[in-house]
Amino acid sequence: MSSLMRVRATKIELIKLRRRRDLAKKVHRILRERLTILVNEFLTRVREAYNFRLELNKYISSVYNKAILLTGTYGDKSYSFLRSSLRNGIRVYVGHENIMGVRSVSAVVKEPEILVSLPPGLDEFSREAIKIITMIIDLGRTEQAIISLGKEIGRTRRKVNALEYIVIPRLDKTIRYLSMKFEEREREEKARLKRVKGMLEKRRGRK
Amino acid sequence: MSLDHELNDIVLRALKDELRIINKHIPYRRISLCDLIDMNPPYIILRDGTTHLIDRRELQLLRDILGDKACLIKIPIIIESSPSLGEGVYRIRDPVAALAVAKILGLDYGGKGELIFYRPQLYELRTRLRTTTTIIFTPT
Repeated sequence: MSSLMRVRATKIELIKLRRRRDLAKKVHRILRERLTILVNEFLTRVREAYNFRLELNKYISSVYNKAILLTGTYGDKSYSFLRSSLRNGIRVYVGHENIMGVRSVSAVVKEPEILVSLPPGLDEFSREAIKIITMIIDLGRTEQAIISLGKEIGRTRRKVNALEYIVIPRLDKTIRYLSMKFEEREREEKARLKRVKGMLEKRRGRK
Repeated sequence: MSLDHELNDIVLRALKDELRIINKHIPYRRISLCDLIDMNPPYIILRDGTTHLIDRRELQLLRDILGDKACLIKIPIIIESSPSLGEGVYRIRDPVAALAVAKILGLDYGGKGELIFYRPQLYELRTRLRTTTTIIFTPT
């Protein structure tokens, strides 16, 4: 895959190439470490989202059952009124979360203060309803993080692969080529000097 | 200038930029735990200008762990990854943060100096303190 770079065969260029290779190796090492951490963050979030969903599904059915029971007990209108008052009390702050440089949407729930005394059954229901909303927001946040992390992992993997399979091998090859060329020049120079020395000695011998 | 030279320059610039942006998620200013608990919602500003929301449950966990030392800890806890340490090795320099992390991970920590831990422990820590910890890369 890697071909030679077209550079001038000078010592300065060789030094520059060596510096560039060191930098590329350093960036590669850091990016690889970052990739490993990101992948693990991703897997942790996937597990977390799975657990959240399981828990939520289990919880939601019990709350629905309670809601049906309460509607039957208090009637449709009073139940709707209490439900709407609960919904108005909840505040959700939407912002961002930064996971290793990956920006993801996040939200924090501010639980409402229930001051009025609720009829029996409704206080427990309201607590469970708030818990469900918190769980849904946690699940949404986790899934959003999964999407953002997935995109960043793809991007970082491409960079790591480009460095590993193209940039660093190409630099290595060019450095090797230049080093060999300089060695060859040195050998040529030595051979030339020997030849000149021999010619001079011959000339001296004739005199 | 030839096309190869231009490409080389682009690669070099990209590599340098990569080192620069790798730590863009470092906080602009670290805030103490007590100040964050008073904030509504708790957040910090990062070096790239964005805000980072912090989970209140994590703050409460740290407060419970640290007790009377709670106000001394600065959030986020900075975890360092450095090539000099080796691959998969991390450290925390802040002694109060190190104490909290050691308690969470069940590690022995004398209360002085830095805390060194390894990749599996980092994953456990990140699961429990997702928004209150941040990992930075130090090139040397």
